[in-house]
Amino acid sequence: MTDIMKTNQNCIPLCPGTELYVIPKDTFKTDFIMFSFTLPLMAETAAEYALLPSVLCRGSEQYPTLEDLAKRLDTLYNAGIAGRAHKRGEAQVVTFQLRCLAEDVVPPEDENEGPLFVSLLDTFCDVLFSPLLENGVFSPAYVDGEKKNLCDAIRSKINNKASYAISRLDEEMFAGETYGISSRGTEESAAAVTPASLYRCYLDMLSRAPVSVTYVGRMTADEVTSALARFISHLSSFREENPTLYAPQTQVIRTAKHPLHRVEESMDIRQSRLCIGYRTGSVLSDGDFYRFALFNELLGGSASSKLFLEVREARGLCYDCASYPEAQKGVLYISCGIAADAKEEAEEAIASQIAAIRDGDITDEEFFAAKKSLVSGYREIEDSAAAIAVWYANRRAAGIATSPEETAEQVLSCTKEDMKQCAEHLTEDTLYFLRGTCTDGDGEEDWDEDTN
Amino acid sequence: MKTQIEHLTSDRLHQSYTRIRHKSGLTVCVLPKRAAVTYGVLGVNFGANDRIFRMTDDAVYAPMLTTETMPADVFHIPSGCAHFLEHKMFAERGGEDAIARFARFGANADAYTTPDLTAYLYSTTEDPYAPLEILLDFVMNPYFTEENVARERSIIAQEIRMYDDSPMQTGYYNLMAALYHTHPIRDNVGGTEETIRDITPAVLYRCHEAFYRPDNMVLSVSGNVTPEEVLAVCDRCLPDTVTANRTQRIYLPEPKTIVTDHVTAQAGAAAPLLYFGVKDNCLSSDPTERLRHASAVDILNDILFCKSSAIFSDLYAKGWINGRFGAEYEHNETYSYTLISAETAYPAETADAIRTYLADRVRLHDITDAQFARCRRVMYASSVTAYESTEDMALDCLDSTMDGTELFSSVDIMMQITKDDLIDALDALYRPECMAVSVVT
Repeated sequence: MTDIMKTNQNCIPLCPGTELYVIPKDTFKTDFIMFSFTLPLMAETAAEYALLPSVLCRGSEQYPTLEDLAKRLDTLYNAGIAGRAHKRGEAQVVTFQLRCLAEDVVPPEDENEGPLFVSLLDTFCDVLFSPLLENGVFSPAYVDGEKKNLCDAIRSKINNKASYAISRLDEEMFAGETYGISSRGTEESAAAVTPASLYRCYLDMLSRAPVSVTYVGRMTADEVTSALARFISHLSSFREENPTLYAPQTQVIRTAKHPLHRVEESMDIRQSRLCIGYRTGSVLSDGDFYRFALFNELLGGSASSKLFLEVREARGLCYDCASYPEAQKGVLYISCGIAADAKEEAEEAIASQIAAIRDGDITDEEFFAAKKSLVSGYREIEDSAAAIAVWYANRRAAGIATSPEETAEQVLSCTKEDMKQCAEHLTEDTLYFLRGTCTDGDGEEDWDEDTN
Repeated sequence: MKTQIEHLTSDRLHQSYTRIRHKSGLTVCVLPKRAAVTYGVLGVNFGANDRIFRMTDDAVYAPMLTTETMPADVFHIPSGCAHFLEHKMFAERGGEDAIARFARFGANADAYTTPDLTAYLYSTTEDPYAPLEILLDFVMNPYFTEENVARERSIIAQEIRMYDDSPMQTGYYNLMAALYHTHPIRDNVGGTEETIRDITPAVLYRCHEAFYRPDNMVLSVSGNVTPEEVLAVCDRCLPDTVTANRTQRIYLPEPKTIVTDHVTAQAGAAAPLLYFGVKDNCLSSDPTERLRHASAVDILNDILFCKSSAIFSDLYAKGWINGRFGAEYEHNETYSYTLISAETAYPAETADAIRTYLADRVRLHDITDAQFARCRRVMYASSVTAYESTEDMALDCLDSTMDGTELFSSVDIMMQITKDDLIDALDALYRPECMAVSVVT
């Protein structure tokens, strides 16, 4: 199983600034291909690029409404075109993930116009290169509709208190840094988008964003390249021969520049949320990020981790207490849901677990469990085409090429001394506490017995 | 009883698996697949809905509906019991946690509780049999003390509060309470901070004894396993014989009517959340009949509410709904409903639009061949891709086996559904007097 993952992927230049990576995999019943456009993360354009995938998927020349496009994809056996914009460090990446059944599981008795994968790529080309335009720019109705949806999505963050608290932590911690720009923009910047400004960004993306295309499945590199003929010819028409491509860099701050920045806010909710952001001094492009990944696993990455066992199991302070690493900017988040009066004890318990690793207080058993858990997570990647594609896309962007299996080997070679060093490099930056002030129990329902 | 083995194959999906009725009474499904991850799940037919039971000779696991007076010897257990038991099963003698035993073999373990069942699961990219032994061992051997139960109570209280702060959860449970008069689907799976105070070691031991019996469980394993070796593990870990079941679960009769057709609550939602529910009274104790009905409703709902549906396009174009719109259908022996959810600034208008849409019988009866053909393609593709993941395979097989059917019959029945079946389901289910709306702002 590891041979496939270790195989060097074929890297094939398609047109200026555009490369195809083919990862052969014969265990899936689907073909998967991902297109990634890398752009600089900027406050002026973040909302535009957040909107772009949804406006494009709203309707094209050939499939002018959402219903037309949905029917087309249903006919292609529930094929998917999923577009989104996300943050990779201080870059904003617009991706389109396409998935369809592999040709050999299409029922032979059905009548189809040709290979499913080619039909799906044709539909995608229509969506990407032939959007529905009015007066030379995007349809104002579609842009307005998606602006409203984006604003809804930005506001909806508050429905999930855990992720809301993390987003507030981000705003506080990265106030003066590019990383503080949300990949969805703000409500204000979303409201300011016009069909013309969005169209300018669209043209800019097609002409200047580096494009990486990642295919996972049974087809050969030649077969994928030839299926991409229409995509290549369309994209080339937007590109000069030697285009000035974007190459966004992420500013890494390896150590917190100030004493712990504390922020507290209150809300009428029953559970309080405690979130701490740390500078880690470790990023993917360093080449030895696997050490930090293991440190995170040991600290708060699983139900065998120090935070889970101490803060939840031993002290009974919370239901969830976990840590999450960010690999491009060099950040670690710790998040837990607690009673408001347990804040000091939870802070102390979290600090004690980081100190324990720094002091080398790591049992063989927990170190082994952390390694096994992380290695297992890497090996699982092989079971998902999307996970494989995302793994390699992130590593290519960081200039490394290790496979999940090679990374697993590196993790197994880590020592407790490595963990001590990771803990020593960790510095607290910002603590955000969302204090829940609601103490009453039930009785919030407001029954309306009237019939309509 | 001797162990019985059967091999089940789907020509349509090019898949097969082995179903074993182990001599202990445990039903075991083994789904070999070449994959990195082996996934095993042990499901116990004891969920949040099982709140009343009695111990009696001549008991059957199927729920008994009381229509007259409740027998005197019944146990009423507090809401949240099945979930509390799930948490506490991981405690072991000597203060150890079962999670640590799994970790020693490089396996991850987890568990979840639904209204209908409790599931314990592990996944591993290494030896699949050692964690399987731990799974069968820890789920069969409870260890509850006053002290460990008290500590768990504070952890679960935090879990309850976390969900209490979710507007989505508030909207969902308000809808269930609007649709159901007595059925425990009204109540939070985790219970409340009040009810979990009444959960003691004695209550947990009683539930474990009543329900955690091999003949009331299903094991489903998918990945790098063989039926022979899974069976060998079962032989080592489980009893040789089935002991007579004495557990009779009891449900109160549930009227066919709804409680109220409208409920609102304030929960600090960013935009109003609409939960539109339809109580389905087409309940059956026959698993195949249930599956047939559920398959028809699933196809129907897909045609009615998916992204290519008329109502989705209409409401989306108007700007009343965003991408967070969809319909789901839950179907079980004692309760069944369709739930349509939306985030909308126009909850009343959107609810009215759904009512009007469902009332337009002439148009709905005119489901076109093209719509039906597209939908069958979607369902077929979903079935094929469901077997990409060992997790999905193991869980789907668990669910269908616990429901009393089997994995492949769902695809076969799905492909047999005709347009007439959809019309029948439509007329039986979408009745105005069975519809209720819950709005959270």
